[in-house]
Amino acid sequence: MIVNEGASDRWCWFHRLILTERLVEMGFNVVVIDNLSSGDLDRLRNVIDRVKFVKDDLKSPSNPDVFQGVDAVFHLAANPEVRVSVTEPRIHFDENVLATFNVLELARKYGVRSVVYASSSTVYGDARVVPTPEDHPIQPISVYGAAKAAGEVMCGTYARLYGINCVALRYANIVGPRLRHGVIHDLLMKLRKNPSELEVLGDGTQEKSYLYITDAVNATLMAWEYAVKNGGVYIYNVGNWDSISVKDIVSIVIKVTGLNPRITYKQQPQMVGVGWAT
Amino acid sequence: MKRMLLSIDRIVREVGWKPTLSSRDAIELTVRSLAQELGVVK
Repeated sequence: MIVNEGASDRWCWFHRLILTERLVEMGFNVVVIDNLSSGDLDRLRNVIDRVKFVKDDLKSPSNPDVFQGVDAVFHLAANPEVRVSVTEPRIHFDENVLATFNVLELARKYGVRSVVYASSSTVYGDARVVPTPEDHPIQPISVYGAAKAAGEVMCGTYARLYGINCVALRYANIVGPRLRHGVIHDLLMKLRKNPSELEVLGDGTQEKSYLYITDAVNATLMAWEYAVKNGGVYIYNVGNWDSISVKDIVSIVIKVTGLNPRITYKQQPQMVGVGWAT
Repeated sequence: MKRMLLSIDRIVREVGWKPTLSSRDAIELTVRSLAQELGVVK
């Protein structure tokens, strides 16, 4: 069992970490691959003595033999900085498209039987249908979304060509303990700096769907088990039934912290290509 | 007002997974955790 990039500092590092912890608890032998470019090993302290950690860069893997004897790969490694993908597309091609290709090649070479690919709701771009189903046209508005879509296509092709069971999961916004990005983190950091003022970006009416981390990990594991049991390639949205506005999130933050700041909403131009990203 | 929401009918129907917490509950649990972690409580 391989989970790649388990300690990264990127937006969903905590997803990878908690998935790793769950797999270890379930009794699997887990190999964690991470280049530690933006993470540190300390984040894996709860499981580091129960996993095999390999420092490697999936853009040019130097330890391919770690794939030997592996049954499944959870390919969660990615550069999720959507804004960077708009200004520096090459970075996203290398870190998302090339890395995914390398993982699939190693899976093929070493006979890995299943691959779970972390895709994203950003593949839809500005969706015309809400709630957005999986068969909605793929029209990403960021290079990040395009890279995720490319990864899905490659996974599907490898599944059909080489018999690797593959499941691609298009995650919504995942939240939970140890989160270090997004609107909740931003609001709390602002209040930590100044408890009497809270500036909120936008008009507060925008609604997004959020999924708790344990639900996301359960979806990941159940979808993987389904793909292994039934064989083939699958694509699933992983989100929630409902959505919540930024104004409601602000109200929850105020209630929980017990603070009473002066709240201002600051309009800002729409960042090209961001869409679903928090 | 812009709303972003995925349909999860397929994974619910085929895999049998469904979320146990709503978006609101997920946000509230996360705010409680992070407020403690970051030391932002009155």
